[in-house]
Amino acid sequence: MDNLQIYLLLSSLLFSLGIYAVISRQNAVAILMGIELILNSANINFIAFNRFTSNLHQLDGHIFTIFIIVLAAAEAAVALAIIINLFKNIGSVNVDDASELKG
Amino acid sequence: MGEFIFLGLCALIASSAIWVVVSPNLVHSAVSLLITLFGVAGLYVFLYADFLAATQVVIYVGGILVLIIFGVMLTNKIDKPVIASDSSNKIIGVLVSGFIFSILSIVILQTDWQILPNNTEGPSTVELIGRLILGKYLLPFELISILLLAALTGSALLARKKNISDDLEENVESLNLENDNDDIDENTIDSEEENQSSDDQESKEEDSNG
Repeated sequence: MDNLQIYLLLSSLLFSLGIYAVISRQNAVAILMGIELILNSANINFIAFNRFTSNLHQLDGHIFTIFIIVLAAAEAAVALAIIINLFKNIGSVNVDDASELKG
Repeated sequence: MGEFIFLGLCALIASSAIWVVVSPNLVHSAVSLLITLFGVAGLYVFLYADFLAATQVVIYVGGILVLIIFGVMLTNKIDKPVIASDSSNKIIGVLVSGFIFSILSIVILQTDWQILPNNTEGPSTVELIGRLILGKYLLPFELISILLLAALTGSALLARKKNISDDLEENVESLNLENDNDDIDENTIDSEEENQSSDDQESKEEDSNG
């Protein structure tokens, strides 16, 4: 627990799982969950580096994490509004069905 | 004791995050995401970030996850017993994410991190974060509050059942339809007049013939 590398490995695991969800999932809400995992891995990295590589009274990494959390909330709200509109328009949230612009 | 709790927390986060991305049922994914987010809040406690642990629980678990579950429930037919979420491109996904994870873990394990010593005990972070937000980071804080307001207002407008512009468009369309009807009436009247005039001519011709 006093080892920086464990935190970094865990956050890189969360990051790659989020990338896997974004690539392979077909449901738009599941893709949104993958994006939340990616943002959480970034947060873990910020806090771990702030804890292990800065002074006691420097908490800039915490501020960055707060900003990322706020951005994640805004992004989730906008993305869910778009997904609900998608469901109203084409009757499904499968991203492969949203292919109107495909040639 | 702390080591055991920490390792158990790491295993919990890893396994529930894996279940988030591979579960065939979308509701199970959402509940696994709940466990993952709680576990990350526990990690923040181990990293001496008490304020952020509370923030994580309040905003992620109480806000974003509830929003996601609302999204799951609103975008599926309610008569299905299992809300399915199919996966495609599994091989490409495993290859790409495995590549990224292996590169990242090689870098993490081979780098000689410069860790500052004597950094374990400290005061509560709440006061320091408050001073930073209202001092050094005041402008980004205000900007992000405006951004959050705009994003939430915009998403509320997007997700409304029927918005004002649709009403306007429908009114314009109905006006156009009425105009089209008028044109059609005029056309029919014109053609009837033409018919009448041609009838008159025919009768005149008959008269002259007679």
